[in-house]
Amino acid sequence: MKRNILWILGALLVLVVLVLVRTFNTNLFKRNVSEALTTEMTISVQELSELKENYSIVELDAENQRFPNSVVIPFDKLLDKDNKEKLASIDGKTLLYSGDIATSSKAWVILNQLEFEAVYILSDEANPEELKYKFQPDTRIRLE
Amino acid sequence: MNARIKISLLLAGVGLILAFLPFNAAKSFQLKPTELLDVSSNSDMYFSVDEVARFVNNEDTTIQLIDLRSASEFMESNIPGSINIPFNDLLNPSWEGYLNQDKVRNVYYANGDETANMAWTIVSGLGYSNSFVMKGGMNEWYKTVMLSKFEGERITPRENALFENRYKARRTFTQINSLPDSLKMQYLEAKRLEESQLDGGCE
Amino acid sequence: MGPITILNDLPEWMNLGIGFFIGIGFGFALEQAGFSSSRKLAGMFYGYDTTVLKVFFTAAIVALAGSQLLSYFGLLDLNLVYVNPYYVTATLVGGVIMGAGFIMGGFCPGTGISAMSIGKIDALFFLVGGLSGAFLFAETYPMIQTLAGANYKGPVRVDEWLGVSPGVFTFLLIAAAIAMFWLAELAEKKYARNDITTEI
Repeated sequence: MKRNILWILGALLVLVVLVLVRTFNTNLFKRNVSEALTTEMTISVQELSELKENYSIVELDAENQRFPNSVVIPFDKLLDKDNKEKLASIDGKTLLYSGDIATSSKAWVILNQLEFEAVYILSDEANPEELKYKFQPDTRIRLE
Repeated sequence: MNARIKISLLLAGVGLILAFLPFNAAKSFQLKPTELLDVSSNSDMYFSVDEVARFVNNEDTTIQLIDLRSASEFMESNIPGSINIPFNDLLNPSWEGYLNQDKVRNVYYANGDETANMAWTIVSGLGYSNSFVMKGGMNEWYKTVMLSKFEGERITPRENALFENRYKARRTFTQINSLPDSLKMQYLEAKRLEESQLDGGCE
Repeated sequence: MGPITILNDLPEWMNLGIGFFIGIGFGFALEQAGFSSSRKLAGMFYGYDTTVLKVFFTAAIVALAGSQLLSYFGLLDLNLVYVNPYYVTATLVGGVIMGAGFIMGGFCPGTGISAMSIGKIDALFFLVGGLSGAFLFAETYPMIQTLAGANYKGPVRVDEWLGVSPGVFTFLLIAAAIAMFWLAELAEKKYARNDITTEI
């Protein structure tokens, strides 16, 4: 009787330990993906002067540093242990910058899914997703 | 001790542990962060607008262009052969059949480079293979494919091929997008139907 | 192997092979649990034998708890698990027909095959009836199409409908199942028919 209960409790305990190991493993994505779709994420360089809160700029392109006093973390070393600690120690907003906005966008999704808070993409343009051209239809087109 | 009581106890215990699990694990990234970072750092994930123009000209069926912009922007103008999956609708299960497959290469684009790369990172993180980004987005498409002109004295064969490719894609793009809205709708509907038949599956 | 992520890279024939052996195992388990006896199955309706309820509910909660755990550890992709779409009207009508067939024939389709494979003649007739029903359904489908498609709710899940996490729902279902098993055992004592139960 007693031994049976011990066996069951033992099995459950093993399960609890496994679950806890998984839950507190920092090297895994655990966040719901939809968080990456709904969050406001872009701040443009022009808006920087209006920003009231503290912020730190993180430059992902180590060779072309643009802002003085920025933290430089090359994109491919983003998840190194000391770089992650650096990112976690930033208080206020974290603004990711790279000359090519593609890099900061990818870094943003990765950091968002690793549950870093108050991370933004710093863009050169006010709206990086604006279509700068207007389609000129050809009105002579006829469907043959 | 009765076997039924033992099993009941075990199951109730497992259930209790499950009840405390914080979230629905099915909807988080499948790749490990370092794996995702590795594939993100690799420039194999990009197609240039010239390459996409070639896909359009060849009517390449191993390529699926995915337009991440809003439905109205998509109707205004889109690259021929693309389907519209607005970025904030990306995780809608009805697109799963298009996004998570191993038959065709999906090329994502929006106006700039931000949205497409975010979408790429999301689908890649979810473990969907065959995902690519059209570098520079629609802005680059307009700049290079639609508006660039050859200026110079002598044209090399390489430049000649490049511009021929661009001019041809430009013509297709203008033709399809100049259609009146109703015809454009019909064209897109027909395309969707054709693809759903190709896709098959459970439903 | 379907949604189990670690088995994704196996060749197709091996996947099908695994499916084949799981199928044989399922049939064997059904037979061993006594599900090839129509009297045992009908016992569910009269209350003298509730094995059906216990076996299927145990299977359901074990599968539910197991899939949640596997998915938590990243071994199972629950997105790939097919969720049956819910047609309210068709479910109600189909449920009544299925229940009536179950009590009259003494089998459900799976147990019918299991019984036929050990040579039961009634199961053979039951399966012929089932197949004719399927044939009739397919032939008359255009006429009943509106009924079959009525009140379509899509692939809904009870936990989403209740607004609780899948884990909490699993726990609630396990608790409900255990309570139900207890009630079922009480019913078995109350409606016991020794003439039948000793035979099966």
